[in-house]
Amino acid sequence: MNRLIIESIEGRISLGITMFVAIMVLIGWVAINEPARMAAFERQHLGRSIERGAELFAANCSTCHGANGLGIAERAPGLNNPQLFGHDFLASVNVAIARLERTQSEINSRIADANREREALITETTQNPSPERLTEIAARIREIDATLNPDVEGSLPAQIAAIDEQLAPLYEQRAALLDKLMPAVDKGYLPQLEARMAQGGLALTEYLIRDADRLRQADWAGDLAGFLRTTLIHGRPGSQDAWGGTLMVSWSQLGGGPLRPDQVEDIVNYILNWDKGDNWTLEDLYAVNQFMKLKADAALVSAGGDRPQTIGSDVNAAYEAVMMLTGDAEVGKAIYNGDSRTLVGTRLGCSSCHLGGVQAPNTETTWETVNNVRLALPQFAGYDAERYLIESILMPNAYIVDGYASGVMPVTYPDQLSAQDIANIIAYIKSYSE
Amino acid sequence: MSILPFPSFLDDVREKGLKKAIFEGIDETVERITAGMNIGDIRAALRGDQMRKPDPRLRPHADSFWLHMRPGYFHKDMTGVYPTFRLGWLSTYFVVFETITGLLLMLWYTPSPEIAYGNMLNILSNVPLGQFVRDLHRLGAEAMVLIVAMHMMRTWITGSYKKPRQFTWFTGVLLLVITGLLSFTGYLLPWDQLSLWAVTIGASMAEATPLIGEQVNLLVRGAPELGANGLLRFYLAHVLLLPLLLFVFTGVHYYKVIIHGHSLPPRLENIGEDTAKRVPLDKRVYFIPDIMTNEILWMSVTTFILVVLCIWFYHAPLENHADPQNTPLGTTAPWYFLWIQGALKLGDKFFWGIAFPTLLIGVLAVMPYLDVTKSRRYAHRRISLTLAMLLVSFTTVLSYMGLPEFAVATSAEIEILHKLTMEPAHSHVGPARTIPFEQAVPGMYTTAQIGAADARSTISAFQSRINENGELAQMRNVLVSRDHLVALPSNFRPVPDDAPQLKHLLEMLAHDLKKYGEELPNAWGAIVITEDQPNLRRIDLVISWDGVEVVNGKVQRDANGEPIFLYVLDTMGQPVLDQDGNPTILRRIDAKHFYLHRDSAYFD
Repeated sequence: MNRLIIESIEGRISLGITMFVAIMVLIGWVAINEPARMAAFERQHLGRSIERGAELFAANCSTCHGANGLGIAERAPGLNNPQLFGHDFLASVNVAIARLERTQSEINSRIADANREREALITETTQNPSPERLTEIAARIREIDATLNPDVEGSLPAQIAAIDEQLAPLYEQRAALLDKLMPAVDKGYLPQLEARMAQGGLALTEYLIRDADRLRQADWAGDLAGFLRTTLIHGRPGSQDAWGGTLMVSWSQLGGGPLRPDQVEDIVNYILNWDKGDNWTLEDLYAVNQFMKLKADAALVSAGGDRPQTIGSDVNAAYEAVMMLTGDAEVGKAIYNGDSRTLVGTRLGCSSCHLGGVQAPNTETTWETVNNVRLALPQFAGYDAERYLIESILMPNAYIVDGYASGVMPVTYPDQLSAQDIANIIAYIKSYSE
Repeated sequence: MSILPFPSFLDDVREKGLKKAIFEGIDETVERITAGMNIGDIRAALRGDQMRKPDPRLRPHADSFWLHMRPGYFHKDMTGVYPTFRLGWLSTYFVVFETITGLLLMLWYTPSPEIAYGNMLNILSNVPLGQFVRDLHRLGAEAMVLIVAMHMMRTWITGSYKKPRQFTWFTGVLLLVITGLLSFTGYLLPWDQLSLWAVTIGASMAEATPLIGEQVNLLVRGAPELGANGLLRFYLAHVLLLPLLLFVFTGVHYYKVIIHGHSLPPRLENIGEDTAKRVPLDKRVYFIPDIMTNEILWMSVTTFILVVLCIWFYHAPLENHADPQNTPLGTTAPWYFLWIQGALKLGDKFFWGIAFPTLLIGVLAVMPYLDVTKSRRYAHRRISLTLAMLLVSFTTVLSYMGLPEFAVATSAEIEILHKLTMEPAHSHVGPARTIPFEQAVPGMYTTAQIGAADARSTISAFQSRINENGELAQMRNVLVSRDHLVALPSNFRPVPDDAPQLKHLLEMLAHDLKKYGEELPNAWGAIVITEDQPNLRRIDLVISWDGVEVVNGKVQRDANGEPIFLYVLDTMGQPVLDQDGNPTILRRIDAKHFYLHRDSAYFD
């Protein structure tokens, strides 16, 4: 034990030097491998961040944005969504169209310039110009006429016609593609399409290019991560106007919400992980249950012309009105599932939540449950099932079924439904028990 | 006559010639740097030649700053590994080692809850050698705690704390405490779950102080809970206050060692004598060159071992970001404080958490003043040596008791689910997380498959059984409604052959259900794997069992020794009867899940 140490000084020095060199070599070896290791760590850490983001998304965001991030009809837009990632299904054709249409509009302004010049020259002839000037003017007008003559090869109108010819097949192509987009348009994709179609031309093309990309639609100059981050931090004040009472609140502690900055980052990473790059398909677009609504749209919806009156929040009056009507279960089902609009022009998504009793009581057995269980409760003495349902739709927080949270269901239905709509929905619910 | 207006090197050259002048110049410089040894002296010392008189090897110890803290020669019997094991020197080396690696880490660190964790990620992902230096610092810290503690035990066993070294021992105990505190304060800085909760447990002891507990707690944490203030305090203690105290007391300790000399092995001295400072000429081993090369050798060997460990065997842990809202199951204090956590399980928080450790440290510190017997011989110190061994055994047992496995009653299902899915902590990770992404094949698997001769028919029988008795619906309800799973796969299926790790996990689950069969009667387990994103899968582990009454981890039994089952009760509190008139046993279910990304490999 006493002599475990190396006895000779030469041995000590050489072993010490060996160790020192070995340490240096090892550190050098570690240093050489550092770039690869750091890159691997970054990938691994991003993976972990996405995992945590998935957990946070499921617990906090999926209630409104849907479990797969596909959105919930009339509640919140889908994020697992080609539009969010700026994938433009019309990109190839629209870029070509836009280039041609821009050339056309340039030529058109040249035609206008030429016409203006011609007018001015003709005006000048009435002001007794010198004979030399008169000859000059005549020559110039002949020149101009040649450029404006559609029959002359290379003239401006001929150029326009040539471009029109090129555009025709492209327009056809685009119309066919637009047709394919229609199922998504019904769910809020390209919200101004109808109005822009009426305008046509370059305005339509530019609109299509712009609205295919959520960031351009929102006038966001930064990148998508920044857009998501800022939305999570600040929420979207005023979004309740577009979304029937549900509001995108601030989620970050920075904005008074519950999540730490790193958690916000995790959610951003999770959402970005939906990106399919160039591989988005139309099926992905169809899968989205709801697209972004612009605030102006909500106003348009309720400003319809001769649509029936909304029912209002007086349960007694509503009950009277509904009981006078006969409901159509089929129509009610379409409204319930968000497949068609109400008579008032709104689109509901009852089934997004009232499905399997997940976030809201199950409706599949509602009719029996209401009659056998709810109406047995003392506070519903004197109610029938219709009254119970009408009250539940118009004043969701009047009574909350055990095990569910208060304040979750929007309270905007008095302004979104007519008496006939409610009659239809009740008929649909009733149809379950038949 | 000088060339320049003052005597210069050029005069030397003129006088002695260029070669001689240069050699003499170098020789003189070397002598000044070494504070007394010229080249010839160094050569003679290294060769072991006869030295000139007075011995130049002793001059640096008198004249230079660094060497005046070291003795000029050691006793020959002190140069072996025994009796010191070089633990004191290694402790000192670790002070320097930790300071250097710590300073490097400080360059990349900001003590703020918002930034600290991001700094750690940056150190790991963006600073060349960042992970390596962090590993060295962390491993060095743990090694230092161990070495300092061993140094103390060695001093105790060889009786070196006795007169005249009582005060050296006292400062040594202080250094031990400071080392522990340094390690403990450093624990919090990464601001991950591990650090936050380990330190919360450690700091919660302060609360138990009578009368001023709340104030002490506020002082330590800077707020009722650890937050920005607490982190800043721990950081400042870690990089300023404690190092300062450590350096001061290291100086005092070292000074005392030089004053009194190294104590000789007990058998070499007469009882009651201390001959450390009177080394006979023939027993002298000079510091230069023998001890010096020896010590440098120890340093390089130690560093080499640390480097090898940090490259291949050890990485400092980093868990998820600290979350004060989420207490992880099975949190423990750092291992060197586990004995206090164990002691806390013995009873009163104040007595075992505060009074007992303080008393222990206090008695240790003043031990040389209590144990005033003269003899350092082992045979004469039976009680003292027994106490030393008892202390080691006692702290080992207490440390074991500090582990979450000991006397913490967690219900079986939580225990199983936690064990299989836990995030990496204390170099453990739940085996479910180590399944390779390719083997986490989406589908629904059941423990009914394990041990079945015909997996396919067993599984379909199982599925129809739980479909009929409502257990499948119960499972769907828990996973979908409670745990936000998008949807269950439609059918159970056998584990694919090319997923042996998944199979192994299922076997582990089945094994655990069997092991806890008493608490979890008629249990089945399921693993549900679903695809969330193309490169992200979700793994749910489910346990379903017949409810029995369990108190403190013990199944309650009736007079016949039968377990007391839990029954489904109606609103009047009466058991609901099935069609045969028997009460329906309450079926219970629990589940735990995590997400698995293709790139986020966990390692065993």
